[in-house]
Amino acid sequence: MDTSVSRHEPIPAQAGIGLRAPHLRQVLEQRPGVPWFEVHSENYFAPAGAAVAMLDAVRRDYPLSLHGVGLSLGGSDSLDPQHLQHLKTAIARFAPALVSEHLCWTAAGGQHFHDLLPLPYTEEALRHVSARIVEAQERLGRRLLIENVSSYLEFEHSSIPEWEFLREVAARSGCGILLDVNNIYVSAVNHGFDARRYLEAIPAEAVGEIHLAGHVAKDVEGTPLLIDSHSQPVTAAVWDLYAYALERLGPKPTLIEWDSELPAFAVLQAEAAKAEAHLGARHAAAA
Amino acid sequence: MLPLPELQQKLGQALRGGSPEGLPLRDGGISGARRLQVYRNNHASALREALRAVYPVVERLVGEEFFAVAADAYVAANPSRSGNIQDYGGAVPLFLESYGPAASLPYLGDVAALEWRRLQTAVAPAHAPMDLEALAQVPGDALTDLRFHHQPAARALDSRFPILSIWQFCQQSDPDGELDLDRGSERVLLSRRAEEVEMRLLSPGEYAFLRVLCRGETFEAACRAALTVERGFDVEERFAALVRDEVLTGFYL
Repeated sequence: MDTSVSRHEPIPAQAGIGLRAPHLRQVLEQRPGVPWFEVHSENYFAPAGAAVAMLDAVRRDYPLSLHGVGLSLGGSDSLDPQHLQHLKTAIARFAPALVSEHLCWTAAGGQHFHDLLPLPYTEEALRHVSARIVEAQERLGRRLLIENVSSYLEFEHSSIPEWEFLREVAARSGCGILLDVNNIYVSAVNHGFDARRYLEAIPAEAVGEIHLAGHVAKDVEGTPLLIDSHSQPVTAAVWDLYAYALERLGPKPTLIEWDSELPAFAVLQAEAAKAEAHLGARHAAAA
Repeated sequence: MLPLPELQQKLGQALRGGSPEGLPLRDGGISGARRLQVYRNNHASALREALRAVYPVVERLVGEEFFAVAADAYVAANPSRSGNIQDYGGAVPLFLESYGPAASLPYLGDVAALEWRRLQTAVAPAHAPMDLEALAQVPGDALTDLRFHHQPAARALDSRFPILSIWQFCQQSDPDGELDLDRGSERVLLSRRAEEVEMRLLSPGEYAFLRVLCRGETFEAACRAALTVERGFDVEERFAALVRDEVLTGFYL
């Protein structure tokens, strides 16, 4: 009997975990009851080797989402054909149920910065990034989910609120939205907008996934600045915002992300269990 | 209003030490320059951490502080050219060769080359072993003219320093004893079997033999090169070992 996960089975509206290299072996040995995993696409671009072999094995038992950080969809350099090809190959190999990228730029003038840099929220940028997402989706043959990023600066000439910008990108490009609730919270504090108002502007049917992660607060010249560090448990304020998001959007596949100072896998499972409790309440309310 | 490409170009330069002057950044309680600093730090630390992941033995040899300073110098001189951070850092061996503060550790560049090569070998495409039946059917007088394919992952490195011994010494969690750096040159063969990278020492003859074969020259030329540097080189035994270890994976005339 073939017990492997169907290649087309969607990601369930349950709490998955961002799977990082140090946990791969443990997951393969223990096969924990996690409804789905997400990995960073670029970490599995290699044609062979231990990492891709282990992910093949993970994929046989779990639904998978590929989450990219390096395509620079908001960038002005032309889309890197090699990067797209690697991503396309990874999509063919791992048959992910979801493929996502970020609403940001990561390169300019051929140099890559390996950070998620914010766009100015202007009509010019909106046209540009929407067309790029269309191009990327066409070349990959896949619909993408696009994630809102945390930001620490704003541009003087930004004229569109971020929530409207995100909604409009989805409408114009046909992409889905990966709503990072922690990122909304971080940016809301950093730029002084109302996080709930952001959520209220997002059309539920466009949201294919939610991200949750931890952040840290810095004091800069007496003013708090939140840094999206992915090094902490999700904060209480973000859990509240998440509950509000589920209330508005209905239950959605939700991912716990943790990237630096990675704790034991059990800590991630405990975070996922918290998200699952919120999702359970929403499923019950919907029933 | 700065058009998007110019804005990104200018901000990108500012992330790498350029002036933020003229960038249209909002203040909002915290100055635009201070906000930009968060991104500068993110950029620098992302690339520094990438280098730490690739070069743990170099870091072990020089210590964390020295490594961080050297990494920042490398990052300043070498922008990333790929959206995949795993591609970053290939020029570190060359950089270390001429990095003044590391001049007293002349073996550092070669150790770095071994670390970089290990990673490339770990992810290179898979290969099939040599078809031994086909090889057995090559007539005896044609053998000397054969040329060989090697597994894509396999590489031989040659150093004036005992780089494999240094690498192995640094794998111990609590290295005991001393490593004799004067034990001289080492030649290392890196190859992959299943998902594991294997490293072993090559004799001078083996190294010469393999190098000539990997350049696409004939078996005869490889034998001549090996015997020139190693009088007692056992061609039959060494060749069989390279086939058995799946380093040589095919042949052609």
